[in-house]
Amino acid sequence: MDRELYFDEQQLKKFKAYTIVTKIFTYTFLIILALFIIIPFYWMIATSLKTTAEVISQNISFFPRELTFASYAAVFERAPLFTMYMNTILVGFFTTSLTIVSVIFAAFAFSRLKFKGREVIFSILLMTMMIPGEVFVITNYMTVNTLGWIRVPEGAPLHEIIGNYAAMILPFVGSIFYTFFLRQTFRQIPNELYLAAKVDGLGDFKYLFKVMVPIAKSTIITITILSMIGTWNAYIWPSLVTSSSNSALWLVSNGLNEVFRSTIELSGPNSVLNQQMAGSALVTLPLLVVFFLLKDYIMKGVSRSGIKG
Amino acid sequence: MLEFKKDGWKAAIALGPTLLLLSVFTFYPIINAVLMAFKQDYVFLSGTYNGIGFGNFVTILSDPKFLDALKNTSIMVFISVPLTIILSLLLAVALNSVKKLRGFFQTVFFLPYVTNTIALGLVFNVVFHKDYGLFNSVFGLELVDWLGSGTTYWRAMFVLMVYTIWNGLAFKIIVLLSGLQSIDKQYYQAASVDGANRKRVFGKITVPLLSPMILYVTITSFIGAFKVYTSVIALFGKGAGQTGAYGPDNMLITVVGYIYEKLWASGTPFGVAAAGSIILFIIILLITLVQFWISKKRVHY
Amino acid sequence: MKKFFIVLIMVFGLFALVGCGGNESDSVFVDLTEEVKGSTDEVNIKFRVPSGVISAALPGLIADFNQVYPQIKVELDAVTGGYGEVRKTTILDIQSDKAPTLVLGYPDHFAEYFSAQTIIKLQEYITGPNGYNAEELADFVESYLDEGKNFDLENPNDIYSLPFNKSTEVLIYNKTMFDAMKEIDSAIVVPKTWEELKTVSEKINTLVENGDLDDVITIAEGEKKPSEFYTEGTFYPFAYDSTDNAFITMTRQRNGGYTEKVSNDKGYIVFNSPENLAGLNYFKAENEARRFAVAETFNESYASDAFIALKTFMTVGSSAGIGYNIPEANKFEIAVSEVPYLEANSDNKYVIQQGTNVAILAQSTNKQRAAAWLLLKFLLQPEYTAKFAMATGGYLPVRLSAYETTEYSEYLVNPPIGKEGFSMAANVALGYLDGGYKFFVDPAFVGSSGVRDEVGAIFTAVIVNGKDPQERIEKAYQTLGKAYQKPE
Repeated sequence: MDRELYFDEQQLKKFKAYTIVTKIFTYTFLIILALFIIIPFYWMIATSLKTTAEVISQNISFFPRELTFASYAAVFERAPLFTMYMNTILVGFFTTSLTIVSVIFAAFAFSRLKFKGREVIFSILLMTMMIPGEVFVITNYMTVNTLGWIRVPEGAPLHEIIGNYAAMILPFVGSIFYTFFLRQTFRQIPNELYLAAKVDGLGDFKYLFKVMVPIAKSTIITITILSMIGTWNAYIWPSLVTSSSNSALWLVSNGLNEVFRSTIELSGPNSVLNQQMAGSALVTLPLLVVFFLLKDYIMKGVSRSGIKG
Repeated sequence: MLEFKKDGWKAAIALGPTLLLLSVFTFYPIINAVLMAFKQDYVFLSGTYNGIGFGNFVTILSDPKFLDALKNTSIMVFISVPLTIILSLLLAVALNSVKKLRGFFQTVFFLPYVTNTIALGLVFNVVFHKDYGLFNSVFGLELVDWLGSGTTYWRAMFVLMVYTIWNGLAFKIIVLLSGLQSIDKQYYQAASVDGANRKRVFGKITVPLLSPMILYVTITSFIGAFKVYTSVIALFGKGAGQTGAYGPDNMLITVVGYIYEKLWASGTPFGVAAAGSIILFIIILLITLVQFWISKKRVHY
Repeated sequence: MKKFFIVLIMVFGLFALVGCGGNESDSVFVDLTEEVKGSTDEVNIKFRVPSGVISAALPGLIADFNQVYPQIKVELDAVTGGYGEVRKTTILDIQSDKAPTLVLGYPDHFAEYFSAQTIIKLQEYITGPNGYNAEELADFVESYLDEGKNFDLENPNDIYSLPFNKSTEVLIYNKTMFDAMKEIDSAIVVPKTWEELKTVSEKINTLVENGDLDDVITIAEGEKKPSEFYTEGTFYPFAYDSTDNAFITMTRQRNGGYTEKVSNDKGYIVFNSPENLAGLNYFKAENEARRFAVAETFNESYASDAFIALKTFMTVGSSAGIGYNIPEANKFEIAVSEVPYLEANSDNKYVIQQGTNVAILAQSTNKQRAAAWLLLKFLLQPEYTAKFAMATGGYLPVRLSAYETTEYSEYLVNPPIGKEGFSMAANVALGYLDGGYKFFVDPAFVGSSGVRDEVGAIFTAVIVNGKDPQERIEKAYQTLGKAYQKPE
């Protein structure tokens, strides 16, 4: 487009040169920063595949001289990885399902239903989003303790175990952020659709499930994905709420932390760097795989949550 | 208005479960936190306290450890957040201007968003290792201790900032990039007709049109960064509640870390922890309000 | 869709059931030991301990207990994460009605429990039909028994906790190295005083620097020799493991003051004194002269790791922790000696008394309390406290007559394989009393563990991070707050 304004040959050449130089700069900039991002991942995997001798040798190797999966085996022995994965998936699944259900209803109420004080209540809820989690954590900790839902020891009866899971799930089900996000999407559904449905004799709740939800599908999927990622990366709350003695209930983050704290204590901090990395990899990779499969949804969803804000 | 009454019922059903959960896990905790914060010398074990007053707040504000935590957190936030925003803005613009490989770069830059803070903290711990770390090798530094007992304040802070920036780019780039892409091309066309050069286009068109996005990113970044805690624990690799969890002599203790330390201190002073969380809230509120006030002049809708 | 909801609601309903069924407790205390002894009705009690050597040693002893009292079922609750976790879980459990019957803990944990009125006055059992008479009470090591007193200001002699696993500090040294060094320089001996340590350390450094000791002990591939550590700057002849203990012992040996207990809930800090300042400056200088270190100096959590790696030849650590100082495949021999004292102040040959005590929690029925008391009485018999000490290795029997039992005397002279180190430590510990050393303990009050952590941090900050002692002490005073300052 700009070219149309430059009729002179010389100016055209200058312009071309300028463009090329800028492009080179831009690409270089992008590449350097991309490397900055990738290097920790690379280092994690490379170190995890090195033998211990190589890790602590004086000359550092950028590429493992000898590939070994021994660290991974060791981590599998030390950490109940399978249990940790299952727990995280379980907790994530329940948290997410319950959240979706409650959020769909709540967003519906705040966008489509008319009732007294709707906007006031919603504004109050929004304000609570600014309050840092720590304010809630203390009391919630006390609450779930009184209910007997935390630090359930090994071999405890089933209802206690369910309680422990409940402690990890319930506090997060009422999510105001996701309600807000879905409400935005719901609001964009044109009124005509509602009126048409009314004409067809559709009740409000049927309208919600038959019309609104399918339209808002991609938002709901985004919420699902974000919620699962949230559980995968949760640390503070699960570590408060599960016992360090009972590994059967560990989630992925606090489990990793527990195992490495005790590993480092047992064998000294320097000799298990490759296991540390293997552990990190085992925790990071599953989510990365999921990310690559769903990346468009995830990135679009996150960007949309930004714009609406 | 028949509609109001009718929907009132439905709203109650629809909102019922959510409100119930919110009452237990959101509203009640807020009230309880405020109550506990004012119960002086509140002991969790016995539930006893010494009258209502500002005692807990005084304890916190006169505790040099809290002031350290505040200093540490502030330094971290006020240096790393602006840096991250500027960097992500540049990256978003760069991404926006390249056609080839944009998808590839976007994916790469988004990776940190889906990674686990603890896991990656451990990775940085290894990268910055004194004896076997990548950083020391690449830059030819012998045995510089970044995160061990021989580290200095600024070295450890440097690593923390690198980690925070590394983690923080993803979200901001995505939001800013989609913001850039949604700027109507007409503005650019008008600018080129007027013969504006790139810098002016950037300064007078791009940034102002992007300003709501920038504001959003700035506010959320400051709020998120102020709550720094898990990153510090992850970097030093000692686990919460251990000695040296925040570095040697707990040099990098943060405000949130301070709150959690208070929970299990001798005498279980949950009241002090609650007061701490309220102070944290007030700080975040103030920072956000200041940003809104500044934004009045700068942000265009 | 509907089915999904029904399931959800059912799950919710299940949650409501949880949280029912807490502990029963009797609000009025009655000594039911006779009744429990005589009846075959089952009583269930829970004993919470940290997981490790204690939880490994107890089952055998409890089995013996059950031979006498089969009707008392003891559940051993081993908690990982040390005494900190024991305290945390117990506090949370008390709040949610799941408290154990018996728990081990440090004196200041018990100060907290007492403050919330959650532990039983053991004095009632002691003066009851199944208690201890004067002779038996005198058979307890006096300073151990004292830790269980002074809870109630009005009745300071009422006992609320009994000693269970006690230990002390000893000096562990690399015997192989010392033998070799003595060959080269006969003046190198295991130091008994700090002044002696100065000279001995200096000599050791010279030998290490010259590489004279590099071949004394064969080391594995990739491991470093002492002279290499020296060149790197990571070799120190002597290391003090616990910085809290280092500071506190220093205050005793130099008469600098540490804390003053006012009541169970209150105490003052009095460690800002010229004597303590001199002590800190002394150790700081020694560290700068490369003669003295602490665990963090080596970037290790424990000095024992440095000891095994040959970065240091002497460490002061708990008698219960000897096991950590024994190298793999018996790379070298270890031996035990006394903690150094200050020659200039030889009246203050103080060594710290450590370890935990046991108490019975009030969230229990009188029957459970009685059963718990019977368990305690059994485990604290001379024969059994000796068995416990031998099984765990580094703890000391709490009854004086235990030292005279045939088994224990044999242990001191002829220890079984693997327990040589512990036996040596026990001998040294016994020797303290004969050798004019004095055990000391600073009376606990709510918050005293915070003070302990803080002084440990002071020591580390001064030695490892080069902070100024006076400043750091003042900062500690500010951190601990007004509540701990003695009014002028």
